[in-house]
Amino acid sequence: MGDLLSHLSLGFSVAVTVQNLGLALVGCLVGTLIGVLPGVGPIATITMLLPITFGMPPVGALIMLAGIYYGAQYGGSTTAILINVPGEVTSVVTTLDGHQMARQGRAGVALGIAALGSFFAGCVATTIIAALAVPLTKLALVFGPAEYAALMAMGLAFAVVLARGSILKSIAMTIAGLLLSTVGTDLDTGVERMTFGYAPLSDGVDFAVIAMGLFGFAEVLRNLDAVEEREVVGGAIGRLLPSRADLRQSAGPVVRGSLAGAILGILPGNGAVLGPFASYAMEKRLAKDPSRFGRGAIEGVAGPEAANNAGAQTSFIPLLTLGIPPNAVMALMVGAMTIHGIVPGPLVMTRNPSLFWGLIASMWIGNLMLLVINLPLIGAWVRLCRVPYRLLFPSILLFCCVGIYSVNNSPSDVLFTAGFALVGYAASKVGFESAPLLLGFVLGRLLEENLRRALTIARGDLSVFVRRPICAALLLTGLLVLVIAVLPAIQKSREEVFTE
Amino acid sequence: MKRRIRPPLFTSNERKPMRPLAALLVSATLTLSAGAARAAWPERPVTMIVPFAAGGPTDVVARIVGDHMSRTLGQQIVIENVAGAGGTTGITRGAQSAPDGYTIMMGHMGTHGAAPAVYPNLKYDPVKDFAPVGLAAGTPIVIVARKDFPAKNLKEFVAQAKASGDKLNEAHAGVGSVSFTTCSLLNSILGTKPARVVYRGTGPALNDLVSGQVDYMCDQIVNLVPQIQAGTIKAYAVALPQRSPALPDVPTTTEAGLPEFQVTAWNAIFAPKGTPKEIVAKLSDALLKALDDEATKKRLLDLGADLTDRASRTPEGLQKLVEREVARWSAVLKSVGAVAN
Amino acid sequence: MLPRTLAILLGVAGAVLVASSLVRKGEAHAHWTLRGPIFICLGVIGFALTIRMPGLAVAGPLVTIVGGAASPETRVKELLVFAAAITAFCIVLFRFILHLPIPVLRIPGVVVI
Repeated sequence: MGDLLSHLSLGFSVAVTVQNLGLALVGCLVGTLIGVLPGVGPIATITMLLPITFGMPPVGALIMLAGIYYGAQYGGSTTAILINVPGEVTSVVTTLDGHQMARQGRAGVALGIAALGSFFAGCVATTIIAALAVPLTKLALVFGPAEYAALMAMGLAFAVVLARGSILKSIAMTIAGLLLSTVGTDLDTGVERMTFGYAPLSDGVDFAVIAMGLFGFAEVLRNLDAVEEREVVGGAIGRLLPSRADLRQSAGPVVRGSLAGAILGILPGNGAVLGPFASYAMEKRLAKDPSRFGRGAIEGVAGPEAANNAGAQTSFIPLLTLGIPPNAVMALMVGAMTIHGIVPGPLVMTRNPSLFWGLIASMWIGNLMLLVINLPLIGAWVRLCRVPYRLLFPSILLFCCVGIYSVNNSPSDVLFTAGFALVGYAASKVGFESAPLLLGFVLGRLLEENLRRALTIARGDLSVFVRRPICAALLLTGLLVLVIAVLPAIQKSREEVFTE
Repeated sequence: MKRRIRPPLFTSNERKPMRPLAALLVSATLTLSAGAARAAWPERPVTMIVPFAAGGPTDVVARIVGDHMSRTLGQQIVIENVAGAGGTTGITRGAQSAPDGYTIMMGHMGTHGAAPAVYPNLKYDPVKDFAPVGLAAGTPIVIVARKDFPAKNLKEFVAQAKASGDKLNEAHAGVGSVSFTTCSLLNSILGTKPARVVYRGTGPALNDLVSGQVDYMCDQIVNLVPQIQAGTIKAYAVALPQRSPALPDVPTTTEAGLPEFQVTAWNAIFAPKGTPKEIVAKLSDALLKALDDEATKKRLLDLGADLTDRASRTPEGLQKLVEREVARWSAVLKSVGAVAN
Repeated sequence: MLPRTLAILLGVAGAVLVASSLVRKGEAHAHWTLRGPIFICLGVIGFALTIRMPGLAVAGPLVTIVGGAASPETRVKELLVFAAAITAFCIVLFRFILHLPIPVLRIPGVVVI
C-alpha cells in the first residue's frame, strides 16, 4: 500500500506540471471534439497529430494522445444521445435509451448522467490500473483464441437481449450483421469473400459506414416522415442535469458497468467492445421493469456509458504492462512511444516509472477535466437541438458525409452509407432494429477469426471449447442469457395461441 | 502552397476581344511555371504514402527518415497511412498518382518483393511501375518461440521442427505480411509444414506467443526486443551477418547453424514511374543525407534497424534489390504453396 | 462456408417472419414518403461524386441543398445562405483545425487546396 502511494505521488508530481496539464487539456478538448463529430475517430486524429508530438517530451506526448482517446469516448455519447449516431463502437448501446430520452425532452439528463457515470468509471478504472495492473495482465494472458470465441458467442447472446420487440427479428438482424462482417479478404488464405471484385470492399465494410447509415441517416429519414411528432425533441427542454432521483436510479448501474467495462477492457483483442453491451444486458435483467428499456430508461445510459469509459482506460493496461496493444488506437500509442525512443514492453513499468505513473495520474486528471468540460456544454448542446430541423438535418448530413469520407478517403464509403441508410429506414418501417445488426457485425469478425484460430491450434477438434474451463463457463453463460431472454417470448406466444 | 492563377478577363462581355491574348498569356505562364515548378520542387509539402497503419515498424522508419528529409528539402514530408491488403492498397494508390514528385511511398519487402507471388491480381509491377529512390532501413528478422518451448537453442529447435513439424503452431500476421513471408522461407528450409495460425497484425500474434498458445514466430526485431529482454519469449537466432546491437546475446543464424536463413525486411522509398529524374535525384540526395545524419542513425539503430546495405541506397541499387527479391520470394512462396486466390 | 451458412440462416429467419406475418394479426403499416429518401440519397451520392474532384467547397453545398430539399418545410433562400455558411465552417474545422486531408477545392491545373 505504501508502495502504491509513493508511486502515485511520483505520478502526480509528473502529471501536475504546467506543460503536462496543458497537454492533457488539449488532448481532452480535441478528443471531445472528434468524439462529437461523426465518423472522425481517435485513430485519424492521433495519426495526424503524431508529428506535432515530436518536439515534446515523451510523457507529455502520451498524455495528450491518451487524452484524445478517452476524450473521444465522452464525445461519442453526445451524438449517440442527441442525433442517434454512435460516435464509436462503444456508443451504440447508448443510442438505444439515450436517444429515446432525448426525444422525451430529457436530453440534458441523459448527457449529464453519461458524463457523471463516465467520470466515476474513469476513476474506478484508473484505481484498478494503479493497483492491479500486473495481476490483471496475467488474467489477460489466460485468454486464448478459444476463450475469445466463446466470449464473442456470449456477446451475440446479448444481442437478443437488446431487442425491444420481436426476438426473431432481432436474431435475423444479428445474422445479417454477421453476414456483413464476412465481406472482405480472408486473413488466412487471402481469398476475397463477398466483395464481388469491387476493390474498396477488399478490406471489408467499415464500421462507421454502417453506423452512420443505419443510425444517423436512417434517423434523419425517419424524422422527416413524422413531422408532427418531431416537435417534442425541440420542444420542452426540461431539466438540464440529472435530478437526485435520477442519480439514485443510476448509482447501481454505474458501479456495475464500471466493473464490467474495466474487466473486459483488459482483454487484448478489443474486449472493451463488449463492455457496454454486457452492462445493458445486465441492467435489463436486473431491473424491476425491463419493458422500460428501449423507451428511455436511464439505467440503459448510465451503465453502458460507465462501461465504455472504464474499458477505454483499462485497455491501456496490456499496452503499459506487456507492451502489446489491444486495439488499433493503442497500436498507435506504441508507435508514438517508439518514435520517442521508449520501446513499450514489460520493463517499462520498472525502467520508466515516471512515464507509467505519470500517465496513470494524468488519466485521473483528464477524467476530471472532461467532466468539467462536458457538463457546461450540455446546455449548449441542448440549445443546439432547438435549431429548426429543416436546417439541423442538412448539417447532420454534411458532417456525417465529411466524417465518413475522412475515415478512408474513399467516396465509395459515402455511397455505401447512403445504401445502408435506405436499408435502415426500410427495415425500421417494418419493425426491425439496427442495434443487433451492428453488434453482429462487430462481433462477427472477432468471433470467426478466433473460432478458426482455436480450431487450427486444436487441429479441428471441436471439444476444445468444452475442455477448457473458462471457455466452457463463457459458453454456458451465453446459453443461459439466451434461454432466459427467449423463454418469456415463447411463453407469451403460447398463451396467445391458447387465448385464441 | 496554393498556386492560383488570377481569373483573367474572361468573365464580362466587354472584354471579349482580349480573350485570345489572355489565353496566350495564360498558357505561356503555365508552361513556364511547369518548368519552373520542376526546378523549384518542392514548393509545397510532399505526401509519403505508408501502406500500413501508423505506429508499425515501416511507419516509424518512414517518420524518422521523413523528419530529416523534410529539413533537407525545405518542405514538410507528410505521412499518409493507407493500410490494407498487406500494404498493396497504399502502394497501388501511390503508383497511380501523378508523377510530379509530390507523392512518394515507402514500400517494403512485402509490397515490392512478395506481393506478386501472394496477390495474383496485383495492380502494379514492383519492377516496372516505379522510380526507385533508395533503401531506407532494414529491420532484421528474429526467430522466436514461446517461453517454455522445449528447445534451448536453434539446433535443438531445428531438430524438433524436422521431427514433429506438423504438430507445431506457427503464428503470423496475415498472408503477405513480413512474418508470413519470412516464416515461409524458414519452413521451406526446414521442410516442415506447421499449422499456420493467422492473426490480425503482429500485436495479437505476439500476445498469443507470450501466453503460450502458439509455438513460434518469425518477426521484425522492433516488435520483439522488449519481450525478449523481459524474458516473456525466447529468441533463437537473428537473421543477420553479424549480431544486432539491440540483442547482443542472440546468435546469428550463421553462428547457430542455419546459415541459409538470411532475410531482412527492407523498407525503401519509391516514386511513381515517370517522376522526373531531377526530382528523384533530389529525393535520393535527401535520403542519403538523412541516413548519414548521426541523430537519425541513432534513432534507427535504437529500433534495431539494420543499416548495413549501403549499395541499395541509390536508385539503381534499389532497382536491383527489387528484382532480386521478387524472384526470390516467388520461388519460396510457390514452394510452400502459399499463393493466394 | 460461413457466409453461405449465415445467408441460409438469414433466409430461414426471413421466411419464418413472412409466414408468421401472414398468419397473425399485426399493426397497420406506418406512413411512407418518397420525398425524404430520394433527395437525401441524391444529395449524398452527389457528395460522393464531387468530393474528390471539385472538392468540399462544391460537395458541401451540394449535399446541404439537395438533402435539405427533402424536408417539406425548406425555405430556399435560407437554405442557400446556410449551405455556404456551414460548408465554410466544415472547411475550417476539418481541414485547418483537425488537419484532415479533405480536398477543399481542386480544379485541375488551376487550384489545388
